[in-house]
Amino acid sequence: MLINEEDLRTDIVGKLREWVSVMPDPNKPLIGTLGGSSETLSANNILEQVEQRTPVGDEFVQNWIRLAVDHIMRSTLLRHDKDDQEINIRNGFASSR
Amino acid sequence: MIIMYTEYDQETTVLAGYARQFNSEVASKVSNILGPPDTADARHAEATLTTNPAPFFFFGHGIKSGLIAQDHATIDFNKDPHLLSGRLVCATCCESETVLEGAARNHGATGIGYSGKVWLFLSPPYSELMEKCLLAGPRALAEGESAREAGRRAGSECERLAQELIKGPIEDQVYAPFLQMNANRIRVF
Repeated sequence: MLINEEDLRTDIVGKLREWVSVMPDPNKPLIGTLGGSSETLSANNILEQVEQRTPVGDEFVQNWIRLAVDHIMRSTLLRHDKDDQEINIRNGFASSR
Repeated sequence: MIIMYTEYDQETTVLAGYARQFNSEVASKVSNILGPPDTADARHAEATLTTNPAPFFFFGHGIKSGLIAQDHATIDFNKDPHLLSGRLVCATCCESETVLEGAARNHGATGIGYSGKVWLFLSPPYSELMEKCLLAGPRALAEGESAREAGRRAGSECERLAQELIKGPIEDQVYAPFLQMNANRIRVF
């Protein structure tokens, strides 16, 4: 499949920044873990993890891309013209956000 | 069945709600409920596991050296694997693969757990949506399904919700990768 993961990653960062900018409290803990010490992630933390390419940030991005591409591949919007696949996936990825 | 859950911080408060829901569904099969404030400490848990061979369901925090009880003491099953000998175990916590691997490898324990971190959504509506994901495995085991089938259902439920959320607005999409990460970390032993 012709997908530039770095371009999709840039799209995700842009969308996260936009999301964080309109949140009333971007530091509110949204997600925690069931590990020993209470480790929580706010919207700001999620953006930081992605921007700083931490292991969690990279895993988050990889899974987001996988889910978004799977969603687009299942949709009827995807044409089967091989040359257009990358364009369709990027367009579909943008519209799915 | 033995159900143990803790409740002392934001994460365990959410998870305790899931544990209570699970308990209410399977109450007729539950022999011991080890919950706060009095019976979820390590001493109670170890005493119960020593005398009762029933399937063990845990909801709380976990670290590589064990499950964390209400009193913050660690129950180390690699040190005391006999506590799980031949037992069906379902540990909804971080690092449960490591915690349970010795008992599974050498003492005949079977069940499901997680490798590494388990993510948990802290606020509604996402915390409510997540309940079905984290209870899919325990529910399957309580219905008598195999550990393999329980693991498959747990993973499928996480993936199903992740696929739903990725189609939604940005606030939904942000949660979806964490569900997929949880699905990737489910382990059957």
